[in-house]
Amino acid sequence: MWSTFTLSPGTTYGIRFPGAGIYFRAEGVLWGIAVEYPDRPLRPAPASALRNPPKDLEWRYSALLGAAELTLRPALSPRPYEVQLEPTISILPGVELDGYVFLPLQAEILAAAGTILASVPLQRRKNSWFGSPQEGILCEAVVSDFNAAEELGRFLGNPSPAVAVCPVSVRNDMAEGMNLSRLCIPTDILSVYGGEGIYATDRVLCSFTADGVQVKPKRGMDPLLGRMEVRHPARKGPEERFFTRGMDLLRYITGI
Amino acid sequence: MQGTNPAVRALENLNLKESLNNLLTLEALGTALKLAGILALGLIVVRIATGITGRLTRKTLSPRTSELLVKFVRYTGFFLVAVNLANAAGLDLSALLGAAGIAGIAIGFAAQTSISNLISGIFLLTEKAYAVGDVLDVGGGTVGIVDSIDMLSVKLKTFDNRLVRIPNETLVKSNITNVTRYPIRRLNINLSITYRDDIEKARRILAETADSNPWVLRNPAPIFIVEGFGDSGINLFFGVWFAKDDFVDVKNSMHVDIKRRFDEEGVEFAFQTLTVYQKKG
Repeated sequence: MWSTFTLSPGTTYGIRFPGAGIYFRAEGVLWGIAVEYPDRPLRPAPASALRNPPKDLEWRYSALLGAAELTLRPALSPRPYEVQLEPTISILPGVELDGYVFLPLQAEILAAAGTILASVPLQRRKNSWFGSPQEGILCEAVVSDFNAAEELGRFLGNPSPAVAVCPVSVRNDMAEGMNLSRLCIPTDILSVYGGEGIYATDRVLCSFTADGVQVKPKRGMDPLLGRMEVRHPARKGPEERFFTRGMDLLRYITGI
Repeated sequence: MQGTNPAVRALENLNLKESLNNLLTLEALGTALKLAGILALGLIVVRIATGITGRLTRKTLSPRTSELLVKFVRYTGFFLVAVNLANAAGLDLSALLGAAGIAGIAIGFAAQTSISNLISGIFLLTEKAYAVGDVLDVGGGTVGIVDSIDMLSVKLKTFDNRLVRIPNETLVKSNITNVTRYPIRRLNINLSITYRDDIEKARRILAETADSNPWVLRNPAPIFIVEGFGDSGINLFFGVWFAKDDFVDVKNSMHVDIKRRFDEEGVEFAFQTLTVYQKKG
């Protein structure tokens, strides 16, 4: 699915992910890309030439000289992910919880010289707001379970090419227990790793204190996920992120 | 012909050399040097003061306020330099100041509105209720994007591309709604369904419509309120949150989607009805 392939002029190619179909076409110097979001999940399929491509596609063209290949690279959304945890988890004071959430990937489409032609979400986007209505961050909405190691095994047995496993550690450094229902995961500090059909990110360390939520990445792969290579490096260094100060937003996030 | 014209004779009598000597006395030269020194030094001090003011305020205040303060320091400096120059030249300032006082009162009366606007502008700047680029609704009638904030007025560019100049004094007295102050907004949709329709079904359709709309935010969650029983139908309120830049997309798509889904699911919009009973006999 995530590979480099050569386009022959005038032919339309298609790749199917569960939540999206991506189509390519080269017409001289113009390279067209179109995306289709079906109502029902598609069966994943690698790039192949299509005899009868869908007719109602909205093509976007880029002018390219001297290119013949396209590369699809897995990436995270440029916006942070707001992960709604289902069900809500109660974390007692001083407890650190390790788990895994699943983040949707997007396809970064590159020409041969490394020029990014487009970044295509692999499922319909839904926005969400993390913070108070007066101040906060616009995020991409994601719904995920907070999976334990055993539950991760099931996913690894049948991985999705459009989803990355994100290891998360949540620590409650407050004096009282908290209900965790939502997490904001910044994407610019996370690298995407891949290997044998499984994609994953750096571990995200979230620490809930009386001042707010402190988030930082822990570089390197989780041992349960095996050996992987970096497919998309982090856009920023491993600096800490404070999403909020004060208890109001914390209460808003955690529902305490 | 020589000396016949009185004007020519007067010129002949004038001793130019003597006059020049009188002008170029040491005292006069000293005064001239002093004036030049005050002017040069004053201008340098004004330049340094404006530079420092600009640098100090650029990061902490808005560009408009910073520029205003720099201008204030510059013109105050020029005024002080001018006063010092006049003083050094031996001019009696008391008469000038007296005249300026009277002129000030006269100008004050004449420019009452302008000064009121100026002072209102300063108050509005300190309140920071809006900035260039914000969308304002002034007095519930004029809506537009703030194009410039000036000394006497604020200029709004309306959405149909007209420029509206609103005096600062009017703004102080009016209710100003800053539509784009916060990063997210709520779209309020008021609708009415017939008494035959199921409220829970309408609620479900509205929730699904919001959920499938990419611009509607999942958090904060949409709000559904049954407002009451109206003359023609059941009045409902549905509010969805969106990022402020997506206003047009959300407004269009939500109304289109709600209409389509209601049509598909057989939920009727209520419209004004009048039941007429005809008395027989």
